Amino acid sequence: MKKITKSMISDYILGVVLMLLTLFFFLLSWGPLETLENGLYDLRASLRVTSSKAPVAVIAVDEQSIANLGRWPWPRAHIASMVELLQSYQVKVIGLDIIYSEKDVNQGLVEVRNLIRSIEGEPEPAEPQAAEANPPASRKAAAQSRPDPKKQALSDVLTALKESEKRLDNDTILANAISAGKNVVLPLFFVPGPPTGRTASNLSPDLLRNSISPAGVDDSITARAMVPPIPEFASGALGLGHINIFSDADGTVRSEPLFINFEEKLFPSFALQLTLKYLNYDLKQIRLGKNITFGRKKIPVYENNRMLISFNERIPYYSYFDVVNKKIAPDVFKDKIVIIALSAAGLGTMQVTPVAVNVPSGTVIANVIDNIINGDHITRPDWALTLELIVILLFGLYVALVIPHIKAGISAAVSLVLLLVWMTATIYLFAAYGYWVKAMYPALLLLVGYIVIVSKRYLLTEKDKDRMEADSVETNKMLGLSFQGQGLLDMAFDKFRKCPVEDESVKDLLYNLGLDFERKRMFNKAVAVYQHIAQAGDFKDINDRIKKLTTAGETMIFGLSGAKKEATVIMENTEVKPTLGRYEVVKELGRGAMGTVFLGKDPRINREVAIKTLRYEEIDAEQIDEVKKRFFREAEAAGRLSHPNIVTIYDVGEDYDIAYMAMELLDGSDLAKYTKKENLLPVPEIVRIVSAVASALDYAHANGIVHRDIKPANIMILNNGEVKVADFGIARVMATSKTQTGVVLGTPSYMSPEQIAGKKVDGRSDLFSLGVVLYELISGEKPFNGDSIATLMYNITTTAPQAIQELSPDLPDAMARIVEKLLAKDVEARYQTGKALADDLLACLK
Amino acid sequence: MNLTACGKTDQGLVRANNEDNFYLDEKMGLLVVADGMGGHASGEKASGLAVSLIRDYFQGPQKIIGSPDPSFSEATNRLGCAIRLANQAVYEVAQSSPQFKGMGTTIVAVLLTGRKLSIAHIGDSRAYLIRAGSIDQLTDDHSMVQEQVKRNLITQEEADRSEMKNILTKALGIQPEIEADLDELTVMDGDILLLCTDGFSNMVTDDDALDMISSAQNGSAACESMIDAANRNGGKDNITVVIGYVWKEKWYSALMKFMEFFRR
Repeated sequence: MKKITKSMISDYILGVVLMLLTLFFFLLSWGPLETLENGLYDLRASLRVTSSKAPVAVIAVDEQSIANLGRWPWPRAHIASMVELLQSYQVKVIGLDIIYSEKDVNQGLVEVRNLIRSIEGEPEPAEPQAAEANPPASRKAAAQSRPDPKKQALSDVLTALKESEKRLDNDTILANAISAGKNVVLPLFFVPGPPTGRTASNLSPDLLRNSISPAGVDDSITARAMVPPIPEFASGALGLGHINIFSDADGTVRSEPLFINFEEKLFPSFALQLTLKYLNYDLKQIRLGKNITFGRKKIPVYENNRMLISFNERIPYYSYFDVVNKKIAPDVFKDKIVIIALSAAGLGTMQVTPVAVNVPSGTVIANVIDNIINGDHITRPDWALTLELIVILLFGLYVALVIPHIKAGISAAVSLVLLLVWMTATIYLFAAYGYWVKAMYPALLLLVGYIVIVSKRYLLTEKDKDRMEADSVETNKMLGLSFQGQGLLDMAFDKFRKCPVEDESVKDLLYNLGLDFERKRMFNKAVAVYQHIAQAGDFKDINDRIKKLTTAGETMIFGLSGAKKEATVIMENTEVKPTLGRYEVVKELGRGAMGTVFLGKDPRINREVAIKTLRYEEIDAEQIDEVKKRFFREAEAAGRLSHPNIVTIYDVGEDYDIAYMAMELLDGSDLAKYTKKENLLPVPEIVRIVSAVASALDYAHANGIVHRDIKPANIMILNNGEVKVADFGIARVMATSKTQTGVVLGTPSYMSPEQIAGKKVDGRSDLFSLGVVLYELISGEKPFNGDSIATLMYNITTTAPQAIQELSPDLPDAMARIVEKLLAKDVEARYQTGKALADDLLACLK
Repeated sequence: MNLTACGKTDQGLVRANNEDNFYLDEKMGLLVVADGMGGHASGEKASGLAVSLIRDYFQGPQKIIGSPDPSFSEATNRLGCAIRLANQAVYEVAQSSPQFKGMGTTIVAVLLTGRKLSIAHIGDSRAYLIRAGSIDQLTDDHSMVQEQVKRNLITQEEADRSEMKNILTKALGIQPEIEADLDELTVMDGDILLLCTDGFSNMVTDDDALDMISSAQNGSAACESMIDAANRNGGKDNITVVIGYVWKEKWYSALMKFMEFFRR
């Protein structure tokens, strides 16, 4: 379990704050974040696009039509003929997405009407006007007052005028066309704004017919003014619907307001109205609510009675010109909803949808119809909000609790996986089921949370590193100063070199060190120090000093190195090997308990020997004589020992103030490596070795010499299999020669209880130590352990070792008994002589 | 609280050189005693290096290096830090040349800040507190026999006679890193602190030390008599004693000083 640190607690707080912030923005639907969410929405919407299958066609007044049929606006009669044409094609519903909110202003028609009125209303005064056509005749006629032919002519004129009036009266033509088929839906346009406060005060019956009363509280978009088609058209139309398109804050159209509330009346959208009519439903059959339903159709809506549009492609789209010229087969339009809409540049408003730009409003309407008829909706299901909240909570907890505990690399991977899973899930829900789940907020929380926590951690570790660096600089300065104070200038320089030399205080320290070197006449060192300072720019007078010192020092440096070289040459030439007594020292073999061991050669009998020397450094000056005396005494005693299993000592002596001991050179290794679990020896071999040691000890003890330091490292196995015990009595020399304030002792694993208690020891102590070695050789483990010297000592003196047969179950009982007897705490309970032990051991083998 | 201190070190009767070192800083409230070990002159070097490093540390910015132990006050942590640095210094010097190989030192240091006394030690040099006529040892020796006594392997009497009395389980400068044993204490007016090396504590009993300190006229006389006593009993090792008197500034002390000025 990791420790919970202060920084982790602040991570928790940070994570929770981030989560709360996300929740806050989420519930607030904060603009910039919504824009991001919309971007994601569009991305997903483009994955949903399929080709439209609804019975809808759009006839577009496009550039081509305008180029061929003249400038917009076209005479309303044109449109009327199109309506009639479509009616003849047996179109189910025609949506005429062109607002005719004023009567046609036609100068010719006005003139004709005036003429008709004047002829009909006041025949006399009308005469001169009529006479204008053929002045002389009519004037005469009027003057002569011949009613019959005159009246006749007048009536002809009137008829002709009426004819032309009828031809010129586009409004009536269109009104007739509209009412003829009873299948045209006309647009309404609303000026969105706060409600006027009036309640359906003076709406015409046509408008009332095409609106419903809101059920309960209504949150539809309100309008403050309405632009309806002229009553002539409205009365003949099958239905009326609003054509307002509302884009989101980012200018993209994603939804369709199915109703607009004007003076507490709800007006359906153009598309809804078309669909209703197409499916033979009446507006009054609609039920409002969470879903707008009619018949079996169910339109999910969210706030403001809006429906999310699922944009599809390939809505049948024809040029007005082509249709008028009958280039399109009538079957295409049969029983369909046909929308006549403007799409030429500069005429209709172009919309931006999630999947395309420059979409004419007719296409948007067609898409809505397509969605409703196919029941293909994008919805925000009820559970979406809950899901989003849960995921925000989960991600927030992940950021707060999990990221601080795991490594940056792992948390990156986990975060990425979480993000991918979440995004894939939302995209899948959207594309496959049309469920819109807002993916943005949880994803953002995850991303931002990860970045914040990880970068904070990074900054913290950087700070830690900085602090540690500062620490080490401080340490180095302290140590350097201290060394300098003690006159250990080289070590001081080493320390100061580890400090940043750019620091003024470090420069000062170095400078003083340089001066110290100069005082000691170590000019080359001083120069090195000054040059080190010079790396970071000039400082005080270092450049002068370097110059002065290099000239002064060169000769010295040269002299020194020259002398050294010469000395080496002399050595090589004469090939004088250093000697100890009569032995030539060939090389150093290693360091032993008492001092360095050399490989020596007896030149007289050409025998190689091992030379152990007594290290004086650890011995106090006033005790050296005593120690030396003891050394010689012990060596003498050991030298008297002559046994095949004891390393033979040839000679002791003193030369150059070094006491040495020349002994048999052994070619082999000690037992230490056989105490490792992986290369334990077979039991018979162990018995052979230990019994050999036991007989060696028996011999030594009989001669009054106690080894005192029996351990695997002191028992040698020669390459020919011989067993030799080394270093008899040396332990005693070294142990009692310790200074008053001694050095820290090594691990006394092989000490006997009586040795630890500081009592007088005899040969039976060696047998205890041999017992420890035997135990270790058999099991690969030490019988007594302890995490500190004190515990170990306690264990040796008081606790019994683990039964050896638990560690080596195959061991014969007899052997186990021997080990047990050897490790007895009570001296009397052990083997009393090495011979008894050797006999018992060998008996085991039989 | 204020501290008045004096200290004295003596070679003893057997040793050829003095490997002990001590340092007093009454203003800082710092007392340090070190007992070096190692062949030739290296013991002297080790104790000198350790003491001077602790001195330098407290004369410098006293920045705590490394992470402090929250269970102790800042002052105690500073003391611990100084000893850590001293250990590093001694260890590095010991590694630097064969001449210094294996050298080390014991250390005992106390630091008085306000009413709080910080105590730190490694090895068998000791700190004692003398209060209301009784003497208490503040430190536990890091020695083999002390461990044995603690575990009831041997009695205190056996320990005093033990052959391994000189074997330490912990010393400064032997390992690259070491933590001193830290302790804290609230002092009272009239407390006396005694810091000494084993050259004193092995030669003179605690009660004798108490008698000598309480009967002495002043600090230096006490030190004098204590070292004499140790030498009388054998003086087998270097002897160092440092005595610190803890006293509170009285409200009338300024007046007393003023009077004293006239008396002169």
